[in-house]
Amino acid sequence: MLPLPAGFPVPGAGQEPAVTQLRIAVFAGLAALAGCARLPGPMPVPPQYPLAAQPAHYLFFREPAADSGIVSGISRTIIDDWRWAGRRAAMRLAVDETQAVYFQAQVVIPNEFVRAGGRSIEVFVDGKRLGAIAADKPGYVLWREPVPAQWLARGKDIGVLLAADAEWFERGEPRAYILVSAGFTL
Amino acid sequence: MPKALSVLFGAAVPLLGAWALGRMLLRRARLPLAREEEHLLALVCGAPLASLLVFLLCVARLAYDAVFLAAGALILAAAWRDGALRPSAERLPPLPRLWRWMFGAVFSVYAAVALLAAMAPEISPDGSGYHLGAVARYYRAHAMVRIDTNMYAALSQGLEMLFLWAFAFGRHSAAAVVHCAFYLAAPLLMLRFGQRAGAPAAGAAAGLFLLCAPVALVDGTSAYIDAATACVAFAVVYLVERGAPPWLAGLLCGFAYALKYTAGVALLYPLLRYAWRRQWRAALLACAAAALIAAPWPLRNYVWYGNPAAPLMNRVWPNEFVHASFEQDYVEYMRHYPEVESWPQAALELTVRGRLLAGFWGPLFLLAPVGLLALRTSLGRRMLLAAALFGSTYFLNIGARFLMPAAPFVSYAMALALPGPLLPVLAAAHAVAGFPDMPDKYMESPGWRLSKIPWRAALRLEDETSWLARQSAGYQAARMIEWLTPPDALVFAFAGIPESYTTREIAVGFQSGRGERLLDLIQVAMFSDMRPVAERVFRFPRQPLEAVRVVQTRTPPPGDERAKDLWSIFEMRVYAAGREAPRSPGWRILASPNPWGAGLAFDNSPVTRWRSWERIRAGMFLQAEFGGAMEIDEVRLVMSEDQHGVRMRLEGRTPGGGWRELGGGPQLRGVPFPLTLRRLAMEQVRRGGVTHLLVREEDFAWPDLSKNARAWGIREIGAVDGYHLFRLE
Repeated sequence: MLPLPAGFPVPGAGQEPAVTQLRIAVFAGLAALAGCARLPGPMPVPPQYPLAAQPAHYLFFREPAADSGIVSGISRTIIDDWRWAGRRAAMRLAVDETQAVYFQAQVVIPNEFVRAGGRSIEVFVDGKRLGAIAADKPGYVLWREPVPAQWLARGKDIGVLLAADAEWFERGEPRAYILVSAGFTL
Repeated sequence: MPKALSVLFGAAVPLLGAWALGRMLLRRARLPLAREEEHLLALVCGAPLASLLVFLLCVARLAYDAVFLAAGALILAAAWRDGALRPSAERLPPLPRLWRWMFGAVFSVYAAVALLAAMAPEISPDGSGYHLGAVARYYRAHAMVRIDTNMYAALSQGLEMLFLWAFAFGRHSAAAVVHCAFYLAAPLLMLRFGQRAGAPAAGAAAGLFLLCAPVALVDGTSAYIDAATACVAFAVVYLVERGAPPWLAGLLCGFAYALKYTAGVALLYPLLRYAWRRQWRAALLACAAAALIAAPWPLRNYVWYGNPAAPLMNRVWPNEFVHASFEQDYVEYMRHYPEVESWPQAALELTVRGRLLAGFWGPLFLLAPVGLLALRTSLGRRMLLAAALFGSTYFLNIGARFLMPAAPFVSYAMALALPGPLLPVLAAAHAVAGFPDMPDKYMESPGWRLSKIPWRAALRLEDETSWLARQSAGYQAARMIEWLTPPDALVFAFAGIPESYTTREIAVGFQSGRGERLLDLIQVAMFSDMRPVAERVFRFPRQPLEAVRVVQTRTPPPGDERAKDLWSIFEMRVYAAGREAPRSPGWRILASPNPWGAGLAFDNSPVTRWRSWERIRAGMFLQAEFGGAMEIDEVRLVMSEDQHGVRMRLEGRTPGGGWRELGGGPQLRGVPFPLTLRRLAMEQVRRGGVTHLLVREEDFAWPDLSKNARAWGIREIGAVDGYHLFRLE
């Protein structure tokens, strides 16, 4: 299907495309009857849902606001939509729900990390080992693991540590892997 | 036993009312009828008027027991005064001796079985679900009420009006007995037609072919409508062939539509005949009479649901009540039942297997193609024409019972084509083979059928409640709902239950637009690809704009893996220099399709979303007008990942100018969503009026809802037979 050109005439209310696109004769009659379709016109914006401020439970490292959740081991420099993580990347997060919560991390393992002997990144939640991200091959990894509800508490800071088993250096700066996002999710 | 009597009384009142109305009608039709046929035709011809009467009583909010009783008595009195009850002196030519005994014996046995089965507490899925679910609600309200939680309530309900009349006195079983009366009237009409047409043996055999078919027996003894539709379809042909006045034929054709939309094709039979003979005035009269009986249903649906053909044709008459996407999926499903892959396989399912098409007609109907030999005779050609006419809609739903309107004619064609001496043998074999529960002896796991004669339950020698608890899946759940919820409860369920056994309103996820929207809230919180996980960002040079709209530009070709995608947007936000422009009261928002839901993309809620509720096609749009020019440079759309087929373009309207494209395609990026998504979803479900959830252990939602009840904000308050009832906290 070819993309529509700019300015494609989009029908307005009361002129449903379904009506205009009917192709066969039988439907032509129905199309005439469809003039009786009762469609509402433009409406005002509805009342806004009062969404309470959420604690920082998930960090997208493309956002400068992620700085507030970084404790150590993660670069303050944003490159496109990611940052470099060091051997021990520590974050401070919080949750407002503890049931059925997962820890998720989007990372990219560079060749250099594997060449430096890197094989895994262990994940700790408040000091308790949740699991390990396999990092023995270069490439993108989306890692998810359920977090026991008893490890989490609402309204309390939760320390998360990503501990890699290797690091390498670029222009004297320690590097381990690329961190796109990490945190608690569903 | 008194309950059994009330069932019979309940059924007798509307049936007598219809019969008496029919007698008066036939008197005015001046159609010479024999004694054997006048009662049958009176019942069928009076039914449209009786149904219309109940409809009008419902509209007038007069659906009370006393009114129904008085109406029955008044009609009978009027018929007596009218002299319409005097029997005809004319008699039909006698049946051959063999057929007199054979038809009499088989019919009597099957009629007794059918009556007992119909009198037993109602357990059929659709009968105890929506057919009588709607009837029970009308009865409680003493009026016809708008039901926006069940699309089936928008189907024409011509027979349900008679069910309502019976329900007033004998509840569920009385309604089934009303249907049973039409099931039994059909073979009798076929017999009498054969006597009239000089083919009594064929008429008797054809009648038994229909009567003894397993799917006809189980359907005809349930609170369904198919057997009545078959009866009315045959009566239309009978009357037309007998030269009845066009208005009478038209009345019945209108009733056929009122029974079942697809049976509206009945009108073509008289119209073809009148057109062939160039009787244009007769054709007009037939149409006018049909419209009189049929019109209440499209009128009601237009007033209540905005769609005269509800729950179908929702793209022609878009409405909130039934989504076009549901109709698109539903129609496809009904045309292609799961596991049925070819027509030969379907033919075997319809005749000797019965598992995949919800019932079967019996091995005899393997001979149905032989019926084509009936083309040799004039009568045969007419029967085949009617079979083709009423069978033409079968392909819309290939379930076995949807052949019912065509079955009398197919039976007739077979009986006319097969050698005469073979007919008694075939009829006897068919009667034996279809008797409960003979199919079990020669078939492997036969499908929907009457497997036992429930005579103890029918006569209420066995406790109704305990029998229903054993026989009806979901009955106990319906009773649990009745006990554990307040009278104004709205229970959301993931699958249907016999809702006629509870007074609480049940909203099943797939049965209405409202149900689908509630289900969507739960699914958004439950499934990762339906959550608000992604943001599409359109950036363009800062400029003053009066309005922006995002347009969906792709129509996937049929068969494309994304052809069934729906487009949805959780939030549409506009920005200037990285700051969101606040939504002001002067804004106006619009969407096409589903303009009703446009506000959901502007309500700041992470769980509500505007959805197209129609498969993606080019030209769909979501639009915001600002009430004046506003300097902006970015539009962000929060979306889910369940719509990979969607392609979008952003357009803006400059002050005093037209629409033009802004920037290029959007950038995609992830966004966080609240961990409290489940609870937020359930809050919205509660805002939608729902107070309770009913979840079966087989439902897809059961593992998550049961394991994470606290996160959802629900609490289990009861469980029975694998059904769990949760209260929204």
